[in-house]
Amino acid sequence: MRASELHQVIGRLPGVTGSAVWKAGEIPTGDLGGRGGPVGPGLLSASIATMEQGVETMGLGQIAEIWFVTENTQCLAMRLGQWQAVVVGGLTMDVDSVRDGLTDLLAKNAESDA
Amino acid sequence: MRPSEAAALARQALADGDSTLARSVAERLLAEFANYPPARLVRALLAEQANDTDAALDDLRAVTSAEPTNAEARAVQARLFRRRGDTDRARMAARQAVELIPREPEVLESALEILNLQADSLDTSAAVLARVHLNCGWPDLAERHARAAVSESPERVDVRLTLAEALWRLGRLSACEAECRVVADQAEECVRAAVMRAHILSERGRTAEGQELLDRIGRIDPEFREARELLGTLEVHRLVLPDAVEIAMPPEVLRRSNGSVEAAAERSPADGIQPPASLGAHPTPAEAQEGGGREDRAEMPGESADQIQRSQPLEKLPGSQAQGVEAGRVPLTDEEVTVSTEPLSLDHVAEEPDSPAAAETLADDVASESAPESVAPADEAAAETTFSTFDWARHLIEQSEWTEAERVLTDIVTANEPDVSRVDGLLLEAVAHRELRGPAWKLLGDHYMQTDRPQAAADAYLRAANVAGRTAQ
Repeated sequence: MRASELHQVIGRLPGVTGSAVWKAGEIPTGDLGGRGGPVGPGLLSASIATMEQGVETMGLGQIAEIWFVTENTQCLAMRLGQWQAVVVGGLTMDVDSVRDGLTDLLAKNAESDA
Repeated sequence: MRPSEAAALARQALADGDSTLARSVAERLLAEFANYPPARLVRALLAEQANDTDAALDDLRAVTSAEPTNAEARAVQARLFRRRGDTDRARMAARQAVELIPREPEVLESALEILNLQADSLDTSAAVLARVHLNCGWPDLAERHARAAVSESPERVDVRLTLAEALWRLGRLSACEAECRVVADQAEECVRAAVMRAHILSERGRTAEGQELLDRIGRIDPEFREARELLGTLEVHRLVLPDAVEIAMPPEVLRRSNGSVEAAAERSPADGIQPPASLGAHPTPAEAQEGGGREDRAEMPGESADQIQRSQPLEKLPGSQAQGVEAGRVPLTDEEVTVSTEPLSLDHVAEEPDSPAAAETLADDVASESAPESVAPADEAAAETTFSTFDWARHLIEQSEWTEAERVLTDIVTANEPDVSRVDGLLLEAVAHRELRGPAWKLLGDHYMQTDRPQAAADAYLRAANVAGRTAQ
């Protein structure tokens, strides 16, 4: 599945209002429910990737997932092999089920890549 | 009035015995730029005259933190230490002053007097040899002696800085960066080290960070004197040196100066900062090598031949903005846009301005110049196509065909061109044009993500978002 298709499927996960998907060495695609405009997915992905790089540089290993919450948004970022995805949703989004769904999708995609 | 002119005015007033004017100008400068070394030095000299040793030493600490190789500051420090009865430190500072090879005879005399030596009885230390070689444009020799000097006096920040600069001129950027860090530990406001670090960041594709660092230098060195001197030796770089600032002097200061502003301006240190004046003393890293061309730099340790070859097309291509903008720099800031939107000098294309074929012919010329003779036909065709696309993008930008230019730039990024630095260069040229800035920053972010540089990508996307925000407003 290509990143744009994956983004479509992720968008159907319950509670998800936006997402960005990318494969290492490729441009992040998606939309964050209109937030941040066309730059939004790239900016959020790059910010998370910067954090990953910092963590790796410190020798703490590779981040498998990041979750954060703001006053109105939850965000979950996951990596599986070469694939990474960032999803955003409201405070009611069930992060556990989204995590399961996302892991499943990314794993399938990584398998089909292989 | 430029800050350097004002500082020269203050020095002249000090020399003429007009302490009030000197103080007034220095304080005015420091109100604007709290750590401006020439103003701090004037204030230190005034404090020295007033026997306020502590205040003078405080100011000198700031001067030597920003400019560890300022021989005059070291000489004044030496006098002040001696006045305090601290002979050891006085001699150490005086020796540093001498080893920094001061241009002003009075500075040398003052230091020699403390050392109780005649100029011809000075022994030639490794630190002196390192400075001499660096000033002569022999960075490889400078490096050898600077390393010896560092092992003799590891605490000497000026020696470390000489070593860092020698490494920088040799193109050994990683080693230079490490030395710059050590310098920054001891002299956290060291302008020269910061300029080298800014350049190194930009060379690694972290141009926005490098630019930010360079902009911060403006608080200490508002005319970017050291940055101009160092970066002026490079054939091409991606940093933008902001325009020189002016400082308003109170009318009474201008009146009291009795026209000495013009005279001071003639003696202004800023006059010595233009690249041509400093090129002789500080040849480019490439020129520093025997027979120094860009090709020679490819053999330098720490910089791969690949890196050098990548940067060549940007410099060679007529119409590359790297040629049109002074010292090969590419404008980045909003302020630069008015300058950068001048028509590009796409010489070949200009002969037939509306002909895309002209750009392609040019591309073919350049491709045949640059491509190795043994290249396979398929690769040759690919190279021609690549050159054409890049030139076509430049041509469209020159013709102000923004929509089409954006489309071509998008194609280039999407194609994930393997020559990363060429794409970097093209997009950095594009962001200089107001009409393209938003999409170009976004494309630059995409390109940085493709090439695994997320920090630079985040910065580029942020800039794109800011442009979009401003446009929406």
